[in-house]
Formats: sequence, structure tokens, C-alpha cells
Amino acid sequence: MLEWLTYDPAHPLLFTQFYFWAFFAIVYAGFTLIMQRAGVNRGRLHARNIYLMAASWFFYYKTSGIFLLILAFITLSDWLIGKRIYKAISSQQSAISKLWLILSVCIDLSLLFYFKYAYFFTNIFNDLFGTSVQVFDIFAYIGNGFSHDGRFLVDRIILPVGISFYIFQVISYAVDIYRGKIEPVKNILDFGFYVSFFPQLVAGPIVRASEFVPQLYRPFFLTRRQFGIAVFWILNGLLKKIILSDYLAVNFIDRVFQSPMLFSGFENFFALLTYSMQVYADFSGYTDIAIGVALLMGFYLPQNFDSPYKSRNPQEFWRRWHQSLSRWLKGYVYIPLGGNRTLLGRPASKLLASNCNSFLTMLIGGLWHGASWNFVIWGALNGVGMIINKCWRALNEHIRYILMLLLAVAMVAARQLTHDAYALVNMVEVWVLILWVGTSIWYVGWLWGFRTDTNRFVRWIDNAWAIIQTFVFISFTRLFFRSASNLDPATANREAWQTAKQMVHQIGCAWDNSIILPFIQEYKYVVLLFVAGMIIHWLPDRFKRRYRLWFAAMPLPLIILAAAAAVLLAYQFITADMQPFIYFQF
Amino acid sequence: MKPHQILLCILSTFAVLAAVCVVGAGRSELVRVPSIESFLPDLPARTTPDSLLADDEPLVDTVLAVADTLSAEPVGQPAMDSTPDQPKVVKLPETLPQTTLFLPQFYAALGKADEQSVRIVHYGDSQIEEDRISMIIRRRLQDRFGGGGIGLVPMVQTIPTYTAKQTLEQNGHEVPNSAIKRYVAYGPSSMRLKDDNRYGPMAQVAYITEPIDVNIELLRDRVPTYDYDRIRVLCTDSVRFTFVTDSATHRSAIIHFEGEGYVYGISLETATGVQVDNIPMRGAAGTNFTTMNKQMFADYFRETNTALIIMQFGGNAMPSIRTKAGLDKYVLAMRQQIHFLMSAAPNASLLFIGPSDMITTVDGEQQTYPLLPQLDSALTTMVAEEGGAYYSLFRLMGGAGSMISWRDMGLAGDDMIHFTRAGAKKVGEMLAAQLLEDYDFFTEALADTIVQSPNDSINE
Repeated sequence: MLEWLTYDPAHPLLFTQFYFWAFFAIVYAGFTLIMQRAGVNRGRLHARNIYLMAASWFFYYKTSGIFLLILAFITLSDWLIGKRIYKAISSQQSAISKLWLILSVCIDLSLLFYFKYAYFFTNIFNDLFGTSVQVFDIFAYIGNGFSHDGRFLVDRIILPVGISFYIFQVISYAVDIYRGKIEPVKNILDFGFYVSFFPQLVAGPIVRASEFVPQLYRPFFLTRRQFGIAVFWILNGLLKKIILSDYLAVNFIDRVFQSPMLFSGFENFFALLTYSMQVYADFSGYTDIAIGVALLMGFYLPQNFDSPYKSRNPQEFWRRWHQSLSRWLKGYVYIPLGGNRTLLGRPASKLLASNCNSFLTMLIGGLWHGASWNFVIWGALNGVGMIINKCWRALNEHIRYILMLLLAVAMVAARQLTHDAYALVNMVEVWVLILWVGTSIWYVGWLWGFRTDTNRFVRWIDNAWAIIQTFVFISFTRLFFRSASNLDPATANREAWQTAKQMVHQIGCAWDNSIILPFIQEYKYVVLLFVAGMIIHWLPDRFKRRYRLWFAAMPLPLIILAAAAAVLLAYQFITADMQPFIYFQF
Repeated sequence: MKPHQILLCILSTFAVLAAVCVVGAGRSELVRVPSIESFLPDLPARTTPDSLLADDEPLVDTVLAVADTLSAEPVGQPAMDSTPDQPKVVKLPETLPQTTLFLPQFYAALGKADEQSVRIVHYGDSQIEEDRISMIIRRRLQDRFGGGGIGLVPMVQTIPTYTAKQTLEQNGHEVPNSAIKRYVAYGPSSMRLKDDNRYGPMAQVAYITEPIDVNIELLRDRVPTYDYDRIRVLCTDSVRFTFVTDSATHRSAIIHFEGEGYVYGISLETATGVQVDNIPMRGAAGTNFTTMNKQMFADYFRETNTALIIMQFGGNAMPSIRTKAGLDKYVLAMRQQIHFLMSAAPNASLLFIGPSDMITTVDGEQQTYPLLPQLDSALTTMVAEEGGAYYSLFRLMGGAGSMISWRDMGLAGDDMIHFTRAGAKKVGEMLAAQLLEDYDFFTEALADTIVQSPNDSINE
């Protein structure tokens, strides 16, 4: 029994496991007791917040063990400094309030950099100066001083779960106070609840203080329909995560990314596309569950995904993808960098300032996702894609076509000149030629008078073409993202780069059309799931909203039965036989 | 809604699920229903290498520690008769789960490696692709006994290796691998030779019709290799070839081919010392040797002084072995392959590396393929009966379920079938160390001893 209550790295509390839901049921029972029995309204809310904070800390302890101390320290530090910032602002000492803000951000970012980027910067240092400096975990060293049994490894820095998320939350708290958007939270326990609320603690959405803090003082209120919607989000997230994400990952994607050279070019390319589906289903599934669970307790978390693969261009994609992060980066990085007004503190043209600051924001956003050059490359590619697309859209149709024609000719010439089988050149050439064919058809249609604003069919085709281009581009950038994910930070740079290179090599040099059909036959479940996932994703929003509301309006017994059926359906995929290894290249 | 109503809904959902579990568990094959017990935590750890050792020991070392323990058992326990008047006789144990001791021809040849070439031919499935495992054995044995080069490679390298980069060139420009027609004895039937079975020792052959260059570059920055001093090309008489090597560093070689005919392989090797060929057969269960021309194997083994044949198979057969009869059939087929290879190489020893632990899903639980332990045992016995040595990867790793720990330690992939590069390196290092240790035991402790396999009778 004691083992259930203590930290066990092999048994974290995950949304897709029974233990989490048993934990949630117990927490909810306590929550119900408090909401029923506690005294006056204000005291009841205070008791609720303290109770949920305790539950959240237990959740984090079960997930990250002793790193709970980091969470506690951050809570204390930012709560104290938040009060100081507010006091300085109230007495109109702007310089002092800025100093307190800088201190707060420095403390927060220092912790983030220490735990997340120690290896990254150590590697850079070693590469620059030819040294072989190793990381040293000062916290483990201090811990060993207390425990006297050397239980902590000093030569290894472990990344605490969710630190990137809660550090960004506390930064938003300090900045929002500084900007006068919110007042500091009076009670540290209430603040602790905001920082650690368990549904969104380890994977977001990133909740800004101005969005969540007011809810701390709002009484519980949930309509019957909201309850149905909450259950819908939970089941939707659960099925997305288990069926679309985990099944695709285990049975296909992970295998390819682990050893790209064992698979043909088409398999590598398909792995990239399916990874786009997997990462979306995984991340959005998790936040769907978080939103549903929080809603059952009467808290509203912001929407985090808005059908991102319906985007017509990279800019739109980033407005629909991980919206809480995009908003955070816009509010706390892009705007402070100068937005579309200044560049490096100096006035600049709107176009230059906006593009440069967007690019820098994407670089920082890339690095936030992980400590490896691949994440930086991923961020940079997205930034470049956004800028090029923005400039492209500003051109008129004739210039667009001429440019595309020139690009296609240049790529064919480059291919002819190089002769050798350079994977990247091959890939880019094929993609440019596809774009050129598409652009040519579009241009001819435009010359013939087909317009998107007058012809629905043309608009639909134009939309589909733009969406597919964006999807392929985003999927390609994920080559660098996935390659760098789930790696030992000590070797992440080398391995990630190697994987990305190998995948490009296979896609560019080991493509064989003859295996496409056999592949579809042998991996039919993987292909079917991917296609089904994309079709569901592309369903019109109003249709999705309709069936969501229809579900929420079902009688309670039916909702309960639907929940049980969804769990059983998910179980079928969890227990499904693994897709056997099939080779297509000998 | 009030919280107590929501709680009631949550509990009702739990109750419905519990009822379904009680009523439906194990009743239907179409719809799998979990049992109530499956929700209870399995906190006692499964049998894994790390569970055998103290909690505070570093995980990575535990695998090696267990491997050492297991592999030491049979080696240290041969029954030795040391009557002064008679030669010492070692009777090896009946079961040889992890020993490379019984490789007498190989160890005898190794002792003369300074004056002749000693060839090891490593056949296997995808576990040895990319020259994994073989390159470690090659390096360690060449460290000790000399030798250089990377051994035999196919003319068209469709699966790149860590040790060498191979490209094809025509008229000074790189061409894709598809420029050359290839035939393989495994994989899809569309890639077989028509009315012929002359695939050569690599079980694959390339057919050329016009001049072409094969450019081989040793990737020494990635994997250090010793210099080769000669190139051997296996081809039909109708094919003419010349080659240019980078004589200063021996990093690269260009072999120019002309004429029309078959090319069976190219070997970068030395006149003395150890050579190790890495011959992976993707997707093969190892039962296809007998479909190929035996004389070609025999010629190659004889000409290269092959002293050890390593077979590493079983992994691709395991998913399709579902009954004891199926298991027996596979073991019988492998017995025929061993016969085939041993008769083609009468002067060589044979080492069979069994399948690693492999994980599948049974009723939602990740576990070892149910018949894998039996397959491992049956192969152990069969190989011993055939006079070979058996190296049980399965037991070396820690037995049933150990692949999960290997995966957790980054030594195996998420498919829990293949090793990662680190895992393959660990296996290669363990096997190389074992070979060297057993060579020392063979040459020193058993210098004047007759070593007998379990099925031999002691002839006094």
C-alpha cells in the first residue's frame, strides 16, 4: 500500500492508465466533500484550493519525486517576488519593480536552463574550446551531503517533468503583475494551486495568470451540458492518444525513427507524415483530457489546438497549434522583442521588424521544445517558412508563377549539374517540381478567369492545395523535431543529427515506388488509422461542434455507457497484437 | 450539476466497467475484456537483470554482470579427467547455453593467425545489419591476432553499414543502386535467380552488363578499422575488373568492372590475421542455405581458410512459431542448414547465436513470445548434437522479459525486437570477450586435452 503512495519512476500517474483515474475519483470524492460541507462560501473556496493544491503536489511527487522541491521553491520565490513587484508599482517605483521582475525571471530561467540546457551548453562550450567539460549536478551533490548515502548521481542532470510549462506560467504571473494586468495572489496556497494544478501541470496548456487566477475565487459552477462537454473532451482525448498516437507510434513510427536506414525512402516519408498525426493526437489528446478533467472541477483551461492541419500556411498553423504556447511567446517574447515596431530596440520598418522578431521568436520557441540543435533547426525552418510564405502571398499572380518557374528550372539544373545522388537535392527537386505543376495549373486557371472568391469549387481546390502544402512542410520540419525527441541529453545533438541525416538520405536516395502498394497492404491498419485520423481532423468545425453538443445532450446513463464503451474500445488497441516487422527492401 | 452528482457519474462508469470485466473477461476472442486483476498494480518487479542486483547499482552495468555470471557457468565447469597416464579429456556439459569453448578448429587456426588468414563468416538476420556486432568481433580479434579490412561486402550495398560507405559510379558520376540488377536468396521471390541457385557465399549476387565502378570508403572516423592489404573479387570469368586503392591510408578503393556476368562479392582483407565477414539476410529465418549452391560455399570457405561460421537466426521465425510442432519443424530445418554449412566447411567450427529475447503483446501484457524459451532450449540441444557451440542471447540478456529492461536502458529499440547500436555493441563486446577468454582457456588449460562434444563417446 505504501508503494502506491511513494514515488516510483516506473509508475507515474498518466492519463492513459487506470491509476490516474482511480486517483482522480478519490480526489473528486474529497472535492465533493469539501464543496458540500465546508462552511461559508469564501472558506469553502479556500479549502478547495488548498485541497487541490495538495492533490496536485501528490500528483507531481508521484511523477517526479524529489523534484517537487523545485516546484515548491518556484512557488515560494515567485509568490514573494510578485508581492514585491506589486508593492513597487503601487508606490510608483518603476525602476525597483523592474529590478524585482528581472530577478524573478532570472531565477525562473536559471532553473530552466540548469535542468534543461546544461548538456546543450556544455556541448557547445566543449565544441568551441576543444575541452571535455562534464556536467555536474550541484543539487545532487548537496542532496548527497544531507543523505550521506550517495543516492543521487552527481554526473547526470535529470530534467524534472513539466518544468518548461510551470516555469513559463510563473514568468507570466510576474510579468502580468508588472504590466498591471493582475494583482498578486494574496495567499501562497492559492498561488501554489495555480502553479501546480494537476490536469495541466506536466504538459499544458500553459495557463496565463490573468486567465486562471480570477477562477481561484469563483465558486464551483457546471451546467449539465458543460458536464457532457467535459466528458466528451476526456473520451476524445483518451481515444486520440491511445488509438491514433500510441498505436501508430509503437507499430510504425518509432521503428523508422530508431533505425531509418532499415527502411526505404517511402517508409521514411510516410513515417514523417504519420508522425505529424501522432504528435498532434498525443499532444492534443493530452490537453483535451486536461481540459475535461479541469472542467469537471469547475475550472476552465484555454483551448490549445484548433484543427491545426486545416491551416493554409505556416503562420496560420502556429495560430492553431499549441495555442497557449503561441500566445505566451507572442505576449512575452515577440512583443518585448519589439513586435512589428522595433528591432533590437531601434525603430525599424514594419516588415523587417515583424519578420526578424517572428524568426527570433520561432528560434526561442524551438529551443523551448528541447535542448538540441535539431530543435533550433526546427524552429528556424518554421520561422523561415513563415517569412517566405508571408512574402509570397504579397506577390501578384504573374510574379509568383515566374518565380516558381525559375525555381523549378534552377532545381532541375542543379540536379543535372551535380549528377551525384545528393539526397537533399533530390528531395527538394521533386518537391519544387510538384509545387511548380500545382502553381502552373492554378495560374492557367487564373488566366482563364477562375477565381476563388467567385467559384466555390475553385476555392475548395485552392484551399486543399494550400492545406496539403502546409501539412507537408510542417511534417518535413518535424523530421528534426522527432529525431531530437526522447534522447539522452548527453548525446542528443549527435544522435538527432544522425537520425535526421539518415532519413533525408533514405527519402532522397532510396525511394522505390514499387513498394508503395505492398506497404499499404501489409501496414493496412497503420495506413487506415492515419487516413481516418486525417479525415476526422478535416471535418468541418460546425459538424464537430454539432456532434459534441449532441453527445453532451445525451441522457446521463447513455453518457456513462458511452464512457465505458470508449474505455473498452481503447483497451482493444492497447492489447492489439503488434504489427509484425515487414521488410520491403532487400 | 453538483459535485456529488458528477462523482456519482464517475463511480457509475467505474461500476459499469467493473461489471463488464467480471462478466466478460476471457469470454470472447473478438472483443477483449480486461480482468479485474489486471487493474491491480503489479508492483513487484518482473524478472529482469536489474532486479537480480542491488537497487543502487547502475543499470547499464547490471546487464553485463548478469551476462558474465551466466556465461561463466558452463565454461568453468567442464568435467576434467586428469589421469597421468592418459591424455586429459574434457567432456563438455549436455547443455551449453553460453559457451564458445567448443570451437576447436577455430581456436587452433587462431593460433596460426600470424602466418595465415583466419576467416570468420557471420551470417544473421537484421540484428547484424549495418555491420553491427560483427564489427566489434572483428575489431577485438584483429586487436589481438592481427588482420585488417572489413571482409566481404556485396557489390551493391543496399543497407549501409557503419564501417564503409559504398557507391556506384558510371562515367565518373554516382548512380543509384537500382542501376545494377541484384538477386537475393531471401526476401521476395521476385528477386530470385531464374533456374539457378548460384548466389555465392553472401546469398546475393549482382549482374552487370556495362562498365561500372564500385567505390568503397572506409568510415574510419566513425568506426576504426585496420588497413587491408589486398582485395579479393568473387565473380564469374566473363567479368573483368581492375582496382585502384588509396595506398597511403587504405581508406578507399575503386573497383572498376567490365564485361557481362555475376559479381558475388568484394573482400577487403589481409594475407594473415583475422578477417570477419558480415552477411545479414534481412527478414530471413536462416532456413534458406540449403536452397543455394553448396559448391560455391565450399569453394569460398576453402579459399579463404574459413575457420568459424557464425549463424545468428531465430528472430524472424519466432512470430510464426505458434505450436510445438512448428517449433520442431523450425529446429529440424535449422539442423539441415547446419549440416549444409558444416559439410561445406569441414575445417571450420560453428557457433550458433540464438534469438534474443523478443516481446509481443499477449492479452494486453507485454511479454516474451511464449515459445521463445523452448525454442532457445531446443536450439541449444540441437546445436550441441551437431557439434557446434550455442550462444544463448536470450539467457545472456536475462531471460524472459529482459528485453523490456534492455529497451529501458536504451540497448534495444521500442519494437523490443532489435538492439540499438549501443545494445549491439554490448552484445558484440560480450561475445568477443567470450571468444578471447575461451581461446585462452583452450590454448592454455586444455593444451594437451581432447575436447569432446556431449554426444561423442570417450574413446580410450
